[in-house]
Amino acid sequence: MPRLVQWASRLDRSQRYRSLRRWAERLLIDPHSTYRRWVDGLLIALVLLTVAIFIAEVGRPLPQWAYDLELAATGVFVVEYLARFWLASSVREAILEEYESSEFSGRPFSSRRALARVAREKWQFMIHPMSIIDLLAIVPSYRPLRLLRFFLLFRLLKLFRYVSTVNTFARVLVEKRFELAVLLAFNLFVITSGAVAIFIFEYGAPGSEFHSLWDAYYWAIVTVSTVGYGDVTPHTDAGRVIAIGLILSGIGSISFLTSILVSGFGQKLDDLMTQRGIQHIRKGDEWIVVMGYGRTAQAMVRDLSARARRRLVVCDGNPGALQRARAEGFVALALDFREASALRSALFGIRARAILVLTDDDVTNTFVVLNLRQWFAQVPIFARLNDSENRGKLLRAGATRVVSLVDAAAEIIAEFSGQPVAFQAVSDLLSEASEYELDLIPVHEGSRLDGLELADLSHGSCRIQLVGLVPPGQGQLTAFAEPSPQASASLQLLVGQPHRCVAGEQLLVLGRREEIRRFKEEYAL
Amino acid sequence: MSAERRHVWIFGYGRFGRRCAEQLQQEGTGVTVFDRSPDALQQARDAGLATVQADLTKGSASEAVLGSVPMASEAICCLGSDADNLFLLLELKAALPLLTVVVIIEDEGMMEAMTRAGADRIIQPHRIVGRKVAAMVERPAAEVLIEQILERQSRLRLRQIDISRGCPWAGRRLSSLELESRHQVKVIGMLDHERSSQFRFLYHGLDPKLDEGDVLVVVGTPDALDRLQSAAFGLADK
Repeated sequence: MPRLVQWASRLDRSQRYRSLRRWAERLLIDPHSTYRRWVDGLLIALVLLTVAIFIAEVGRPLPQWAYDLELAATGVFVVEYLARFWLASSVREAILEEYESSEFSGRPFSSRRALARVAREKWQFMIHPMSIIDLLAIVPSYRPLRLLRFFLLFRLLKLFRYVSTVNTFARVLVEKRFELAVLLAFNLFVITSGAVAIFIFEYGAPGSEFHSLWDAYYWAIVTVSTVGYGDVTPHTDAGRVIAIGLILSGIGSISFLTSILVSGFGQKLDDLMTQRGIQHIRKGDEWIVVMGYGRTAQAMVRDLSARARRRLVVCDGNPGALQRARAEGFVALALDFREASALRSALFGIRARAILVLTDDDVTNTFVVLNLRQWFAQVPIFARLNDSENRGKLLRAGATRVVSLVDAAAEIIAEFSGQPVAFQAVSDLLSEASEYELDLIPVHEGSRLDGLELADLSHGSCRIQLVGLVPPGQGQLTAFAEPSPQASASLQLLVGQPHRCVAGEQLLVLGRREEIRRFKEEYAL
Repeated sequence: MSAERRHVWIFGYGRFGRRCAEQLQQEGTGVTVFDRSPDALQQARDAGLATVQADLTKGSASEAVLGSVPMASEAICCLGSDADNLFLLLELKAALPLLTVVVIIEDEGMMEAMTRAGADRIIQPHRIVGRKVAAMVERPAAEVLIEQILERQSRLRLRQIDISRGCPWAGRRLSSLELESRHQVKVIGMLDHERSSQFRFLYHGLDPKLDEGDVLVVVGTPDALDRLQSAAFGLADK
């Protein structure tokens, strides 16, 4: 076995070497690591500090400690650069892989081939724009190269590495490179033709300020940018006509540039907000995840309490829906529901209280339920059903409860369309505008309800009606399961029979939301 | 309820139309399905329904079409889009002003337009499902009970009882009738013409006087509700 391979395999077996490398990766590269956030913060502070020293140094000498600090910071940057260089590719892996493949194919091991591969990978790291910036941030600290001091400002570019929003700006520029290139070409054409033309007309004219083509270019750029210092001005009529043309095209290209950038950011905004939303929901718990913000979801959120609304996370692929959700103040994530990996990276590991799958497509709903069920074994998942035939599929996919859009409407129509007043009662119960609702109030031990004879209940001033009661231990059974035909057997109507409340029972009451709340406060706490 | 056999027209045999027809058929209501697609109509015929091929949103010869089929007391509009349903509603109301028209809408914003166009009842499936889901999240147990009262197979049902001419209860106070304890039902609300033309829920301590034309809304088992109904007609009230 060649020496090189022996060395590489010894390194590969070394637990200490491996854990050192993993630790360095967590510090510098791993996007999910919390250490990295601290390291990034420290490096940002150092960059800002050294640039501040650089500015303060202009025109006056600084105390020695400032130079020491600068030196220390540069030391940190050097270490960082070397560490990144080290992590960029793995020498031992390259050697071992080369050795294995040479054994496998029966040709002799070539250390040159392995090292060439390593060199290629390291070189790719070095010519990456970010690495060049890193290097430029180090080199000017070398005192004798005073000329390069100016490049210290390149350290500010290092911020690109640490701040993701700055990164987004760079990405927008890259994505819009075609439009920007067109704009640049157009401007070069306008500036060149303007400069040449003004040079032809103005050069040699009486009182002319244009002494060279360089003057003409300087003037054209100052004019086209609409800055117009006025230190060089045309004196002939032809020159002024050219100036007017340049100014007009300058206004045009500046607005064009603005619109390119704005539209670029507009498209990136969803991504940015989604990234921030994902980070946000990693922290809290009790999230209510809504998949699909269509009509059903929009109707649903109006019925949620303020507390529940604050825990809402809306996922949708449609930008319009996301905008509506954000306007309501919800955390909204741009997600393509058909991509399991996208679902996973956004939602895996968050602490959810309930998941509501409410898109208008049963195939999507089933797919989403199936995926989420593996990651959220204990969380209730409620799914909207659009075609009754798919009920079984959704339940098998793991939905806790399935609510059918069609059945809900059809049942109410069939049952109540011949009974206008009963229909009104039902719609009132189903609409948030009426403020009426049915609520189940638990009888807690030691509350005023505990042991109370219902006939003696004065109701205080609360305008509610006691409709029925659920005996102890029955209500919870029905909470999170598809209702069985026997389940309603547990509800007894209160029709004036004598009854003494016991703890564990639940009272079904009907009334205005506000009155029910008052009744609860007075009796049930 | 009237002894006459109820008949309902359903416009549009899509997912809503199909379920409505199924539900109505189960309780013995006569159904006629209107649709423009022969395939949909074939499915309706396979399900044993009377069918008419017509497209009333084209606005031609509606009266002739409607005159040729058994007269209905109600029409359910469940075409594909809110705009089609609105047009159909206007068409029906122009041809038959007394027909009760039920409309299913997608967009809640259509509520007002449909009301102004004369819809007697408007169903918003998204609202119903949204409400249910919200209740599942926040008040799971109460939601289950609401569902059970509204569901047709459940033990308890919600029904309206009309105080019609000749009803023995007319002129008496609700509490004096002791309807709840005698019939094992719960009166949850009523339409009391003396006080308002709007339905309202009752609450403890309210004791309205019943008059001819008033309507009670009652929860109970189907048997109990049937007995209450007979009592309201003045039959067999022991």
